[in-house]
Amino acid sequence: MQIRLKNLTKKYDNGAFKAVDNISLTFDESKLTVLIGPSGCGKTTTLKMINRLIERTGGDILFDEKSIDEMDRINLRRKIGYAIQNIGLFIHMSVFDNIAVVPRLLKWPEQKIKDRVEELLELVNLDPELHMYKYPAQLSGGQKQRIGVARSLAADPDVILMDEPFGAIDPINREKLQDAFIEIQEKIKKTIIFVTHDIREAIKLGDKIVIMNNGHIVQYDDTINVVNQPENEFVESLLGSDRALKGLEMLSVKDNYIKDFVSINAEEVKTVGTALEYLQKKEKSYAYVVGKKGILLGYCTTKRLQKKDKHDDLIESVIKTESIQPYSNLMEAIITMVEAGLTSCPVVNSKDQLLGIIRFKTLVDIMGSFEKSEE
Amino acid sequence: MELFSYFFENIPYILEKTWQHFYLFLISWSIAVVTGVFIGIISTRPGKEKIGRTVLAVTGATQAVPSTAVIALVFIFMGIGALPAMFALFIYSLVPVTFNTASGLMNVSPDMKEAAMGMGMTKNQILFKVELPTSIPAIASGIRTAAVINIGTAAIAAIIGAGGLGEIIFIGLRLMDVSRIFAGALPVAVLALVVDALLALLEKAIMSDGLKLSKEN
Amino acid sequence: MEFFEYIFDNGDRILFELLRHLQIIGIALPIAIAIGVPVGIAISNHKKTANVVIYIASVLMTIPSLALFGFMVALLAPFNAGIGVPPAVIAVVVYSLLPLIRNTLVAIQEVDPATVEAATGMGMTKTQILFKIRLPLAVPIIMAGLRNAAVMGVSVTTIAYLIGARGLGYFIFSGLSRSRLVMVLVGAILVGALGIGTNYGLLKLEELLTPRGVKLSRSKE
Ligand SMILES: Nc1ncnc2c1ncn2[C@@H]1O[C@H](COP(=O)(O)OP(=O)(O)OP(=O)(O)O)[C@@H](O)[C@H]1O
Ligand SMILES: [Mg+2]
Repeated sequence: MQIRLKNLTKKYDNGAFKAVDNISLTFDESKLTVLIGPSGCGKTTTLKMINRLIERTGGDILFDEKSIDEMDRINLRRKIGYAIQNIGLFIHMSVFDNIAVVPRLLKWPEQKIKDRVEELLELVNLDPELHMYKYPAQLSGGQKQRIGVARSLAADPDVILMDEPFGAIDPINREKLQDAFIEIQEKIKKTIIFVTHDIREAIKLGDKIVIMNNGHIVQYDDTINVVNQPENEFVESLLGSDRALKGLEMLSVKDNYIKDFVSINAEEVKTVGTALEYLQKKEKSYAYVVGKKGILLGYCTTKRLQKKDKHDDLIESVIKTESIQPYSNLMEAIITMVEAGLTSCPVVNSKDQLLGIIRFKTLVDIMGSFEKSEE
Repeated sequence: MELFSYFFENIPYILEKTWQHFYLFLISWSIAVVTGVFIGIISTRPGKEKIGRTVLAVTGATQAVPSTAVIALVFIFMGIGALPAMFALFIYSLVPVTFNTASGLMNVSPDMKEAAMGMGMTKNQILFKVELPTSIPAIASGIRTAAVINIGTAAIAAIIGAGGLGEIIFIGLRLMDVSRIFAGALPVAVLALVVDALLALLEKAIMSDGLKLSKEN
Repeated sequence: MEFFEYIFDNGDRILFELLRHLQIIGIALPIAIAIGVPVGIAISNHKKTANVVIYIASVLMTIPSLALFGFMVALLAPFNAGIGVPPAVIAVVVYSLLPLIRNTLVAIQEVDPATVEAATGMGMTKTQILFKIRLPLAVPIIMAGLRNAAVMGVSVTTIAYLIGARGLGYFIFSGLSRSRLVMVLVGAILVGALGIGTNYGLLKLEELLTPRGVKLSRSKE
């Protein structure tokens, strides 16, 4: 569903103060659009006018060209997923009942609700068996946020509004949740409007970014364009000085790793001798080693293998290594590689299966190209 | 206005009884306030959490005992007269004051106490600068409750010879003299309402602005 | 010894007065709930009305019970209703209103605004929010108010003996006027035990009715 804001305005104090001032823009269908700007610039107000938690004082909101006034407020809200910063989980209800609220309001059959709850818990990476009947008080902060997200998705809404949904979480878990969330959106492709304070989060998650200030729109564009061509000094200051690094955050590993690489399957190649032969044939000094179903075990080097007896088990000469997931961004990849001292890093999916490798040199080249555009 | 006839014909007598009533209340209540706050404080000093919890449990349960039971028990051990009556009033007022003081002090946020300790305050400084000021709403409400129930119980204590306004009501009830009953009930009610209102004003005056604000939110 | 003798000799009487005592409270509390809880809900949206209602209720509660009975005898006498069970029931209702109204009001108002916003945003109607969110969360606090009211009811009903409603006050007041120590003692113990028992029983009920999730989130604080 596409949402169009037409001269949307919210005045307070009898018109003396405009929290949102005559803004017009279109949120694209199936895209995640981020609203960002300094505190008090009108992000929450804009968001809440869309599900009519706040009534607008001027302009119009159109859902697929149908005015919000033609829709019943309660029904409208049931069709829009909503997740807020303070989560607002119902503490007297179990995780199951929390997620089931809107489906029950919509009178879904219980079996369908149960299937849906399980599906959603798996989607947000929580074991349904383990968590379904817990109460909010028994969850960690990050788990609560996930339930909040799952709850907003419950009735399969076309539109989801999220107001700093990861705001209350520590940076490490926030990054994990963001990764999980990108993966979810990859699957569900909803129209999402996402409010945040955090420019890194905006760049990482947003297909498009709306930059707001004093109730106005300062810039609205694809994320990459906002980073590369900031409209004015305000946007530049919001982006900060280290734009090259920020640029890396916007790009993800999945678009920048290489798939042709040399690997050894330990299921077939069992001894040090055969492994050496294989490496020499390919003229390589090292190779990644995978096991059953292509799960990454580590890597081996010719140098190390040559010190062993040819009849030794290959497995015992495998060296463990750091790896990175495709939905991580390039900034995270750099950090991982610098910390582990790697010049290339294996990329694995959530089941640890080896997908490819990413090279440090690639990252340096990309960074260079951002620095050029900054000059 | 037949209802008021006894009242207007016996104003000096009613004033005397009112004063007697107030006197019973003031003495027993003041001693109860001092004693109750004291017990509340010493039972909740650091390291004495067990005693504090016991005091809370006991006073919490005895708050449910009707005033008549206390008057009856005091009568059994001490007989009749103003002194036993005052003792009953003292005991009965002691309970809410102690309960509220102890629970107020035990509910002071540990974070605040830790912060105070970290700043190098002594135990006494923590008590007087942090614990007591932040417990004032709880303590004050215990003191107010004690005053109101004390005045009400003092009326009933007339039955064991305490004197006071209850005496007029009891005689009225025995004679089924409506005007007399009314002449006793009215000043008791007024006395309770006035004392409660005065204490409310006092409470407002001594509570710090910060506490008022955080109570409103 | 004399004590047990009295109890055995007067078993019927004790049972009768106890039942009468419970009867008065048992009639009064449901009436008080039927008035107090809806009033508490109704005023939760109107701050000014709420202040006025709470003020009136607290003034009523500040009036000593003996004085209230005095007023009732005086005011209801013309209708031949100043004596007996009806004024006793009215008095218990009057005293129960404040704890019930106040606790309902506070409980409804104190529900976390984020919770209400989430519910509204999900498309619950005002009524649904009241019944599915606010009231379940308010149950423990309303129950605490009810407990307060019941304990007060036990106490007030004791005094209702003086206006001919009977009840356990009989043993105390009648014993006092006849100077029969054992009777006074039996009365004091019965009344005290009833008060403490009521408080304890309702406390347990309160725990039973508190939604599990609320209990868990409380113990975490
Ligand atoms: N009820 C109200 N009455 C008057 N002004 C209001 C009201 N609600 C919000 N405002 C003002 O409207 C402006 C926009 O508020 P809004 O909540 O949309 O900010 P925001 O961009 O979400 O900020 P933050 O990042 O801090 O959440 C603020 O200046 C705020 O003070
Ligand atoms: Mg906001």
